[in-house]
Amino acid sequence: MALPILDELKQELDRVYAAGSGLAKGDPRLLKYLPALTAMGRKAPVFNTMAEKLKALCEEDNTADNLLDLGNILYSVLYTQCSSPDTTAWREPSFVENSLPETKLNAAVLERLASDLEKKLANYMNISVLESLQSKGLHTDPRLFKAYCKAINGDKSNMEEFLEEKLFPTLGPAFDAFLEDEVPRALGKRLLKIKDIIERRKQRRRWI
Amino acid sequence: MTITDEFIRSYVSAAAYENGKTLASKGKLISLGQSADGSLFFAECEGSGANNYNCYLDFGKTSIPTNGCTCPSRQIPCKHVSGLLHCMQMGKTFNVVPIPEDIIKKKERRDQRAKDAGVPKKPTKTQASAALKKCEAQLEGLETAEKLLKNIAMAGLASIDASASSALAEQVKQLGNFFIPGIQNSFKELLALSAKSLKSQDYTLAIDKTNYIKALIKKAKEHVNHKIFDLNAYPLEPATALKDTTSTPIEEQIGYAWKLPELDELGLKRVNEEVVQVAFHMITDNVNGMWIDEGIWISLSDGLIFRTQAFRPFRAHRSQGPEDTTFQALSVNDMYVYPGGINPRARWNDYVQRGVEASDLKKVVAFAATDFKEASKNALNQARNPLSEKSPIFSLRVSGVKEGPNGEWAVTDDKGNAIVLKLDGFAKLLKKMTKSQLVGNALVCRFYHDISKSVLLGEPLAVVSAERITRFWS
Repeated sequence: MALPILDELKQELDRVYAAGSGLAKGDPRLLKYLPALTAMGRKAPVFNTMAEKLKALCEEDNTADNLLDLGNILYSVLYTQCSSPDTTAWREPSFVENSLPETKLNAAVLERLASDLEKKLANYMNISVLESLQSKGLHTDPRLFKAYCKAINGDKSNMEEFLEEKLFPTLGPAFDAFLEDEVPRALGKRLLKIKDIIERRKQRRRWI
Repeated sequence: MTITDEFIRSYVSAAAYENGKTLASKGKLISLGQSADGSLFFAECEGSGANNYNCYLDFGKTSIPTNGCTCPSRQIPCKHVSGLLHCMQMGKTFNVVPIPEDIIKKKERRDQRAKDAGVPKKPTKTQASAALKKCEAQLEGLETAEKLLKNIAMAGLASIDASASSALAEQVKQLGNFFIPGIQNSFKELLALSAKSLKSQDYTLAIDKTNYIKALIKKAKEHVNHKIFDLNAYPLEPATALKDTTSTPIEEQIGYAWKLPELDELGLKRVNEEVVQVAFHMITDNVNGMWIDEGIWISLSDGLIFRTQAFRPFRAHRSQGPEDTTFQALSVNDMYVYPGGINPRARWNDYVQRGVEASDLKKVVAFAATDFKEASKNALNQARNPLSEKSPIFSLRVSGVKEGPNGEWAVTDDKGNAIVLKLDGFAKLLKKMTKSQLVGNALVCRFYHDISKSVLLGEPLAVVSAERITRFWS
């Protein structure tokens, strides 16, 4: 947790960075931090250095150099103040039961396909890409699961039909969680379609 | 000489394999020849230019053949070398003929480089004098850059509107005369960030860049002055600049493009390395007009996490194809590591691919850090230096997982030290993994500092278990 005074000083200094170092000379909004920094400097020398630079920034003509020097020191200290949030009261989560499948798809195909599916740029080319991936067993890459769900619209498009009839039946139980995630977000036809797919997958597993 | 399909697949990339096979089957490789001793195979291949390309494979010296081609492709081995291998595999006839002049010259240059490798070269008086002039020009450039930065600081980042940006861009262009392209690029990035900040009114990134440039100019001046001192002492070699040259990335940050033999001379070559890739992504750098294909790798010898970066200028997109995910492990003869950085950049030319084995993954898991407090401390120490990589990558052995009140997740070590995770994009898949897929395994994680909230978070890139690598990037 950063010392609050450093956060405040950062905000003031950011203002000076934006507005120009010339405004810092004699600025009471900066000068008010001098006593506190000097007091902190008795325990850690870096705050003494900061106090000196702050004084120089507010009193001397060489404002640009002094601003950059002070900024560098302040930001360095702020980085060291970062820490992971307190997790003492946190508990172990409920883990899913079904293993996440392997991530087997290469970058070149993954990024373009995921993007096209999410933007509903569903066309014959993407269907044939998916068919090709399916023939090599690569369609089960879980990084595509959210995109598959996004491509379901309830509009009976060719892509939707392909996904529902050909692709989804070959995806294991880990995919169900991704469909479930869409339920709170979906509306109208899309919601009905997603719920329908979830139900049919459950039924299929009951029969197996 | 028997060449199998398996060997070709292990020697060339997937794209080069397919393209080479097409070249071979269409008969594009002609004048197939071999040396009298049967160790060197070569051919001509039609290219897009006026002259044919000459490619070769030399089985004479090492267990992994060396290769070369006169084509301009930056992919090594290229598709023409792949085509040559396919021709050998297909059993085509290679006549014993004199080796073409092009190939002799290429081989001689390569052999000389290998001979000179690892042998530090003492510069001649002329070279030292030229280097001194360059350093003096750099110093002049650094003074100019410092004045430019001061002017920006005095006027304020908010003053950089379209017309001011245009005027500053002209001044930044002048820095190109002083052999400091890295500093010039940093200014270009600052102008781009300032333009964005003007719209969003959030100057954090622009201020960070300003601080970086200030620190870089200061460090660069110190380094160049050390080099001037060393060069002025010629023929003596006090080497005051050597420590920074070999242990910090300052040369690259100023803008120097290292040659591999130079890295070898500095003792920055690792031999017989076996490496696996855990993450890959493509970065679009609009400021410098290029894509950067970045891979994150782990060394199986000591767990070093390093990066490979391939730079593809936008204008070269037709001739230079993108790199892609590597699922295989690589055996690398010579791996050159760039100076400095907790996750240094590395490069290699020749390698052989093989399947990733369970024993490889077990090694990666064993190398993972078990003390998260120490890992966090290292990350913070990195970040306090304005010139260091702000987002270092670590591998963490997960002993436990926790969930916060707002659904945030954290991973813990066996002492209960926790690192809260930043789950964006594909990293959200972490929550869809079972307990056994996470606990006891290695989480490869990039640290992320948010100084406005004083938090340190971990951004998952991959989970490595004894069975597989689960990638959250590509």
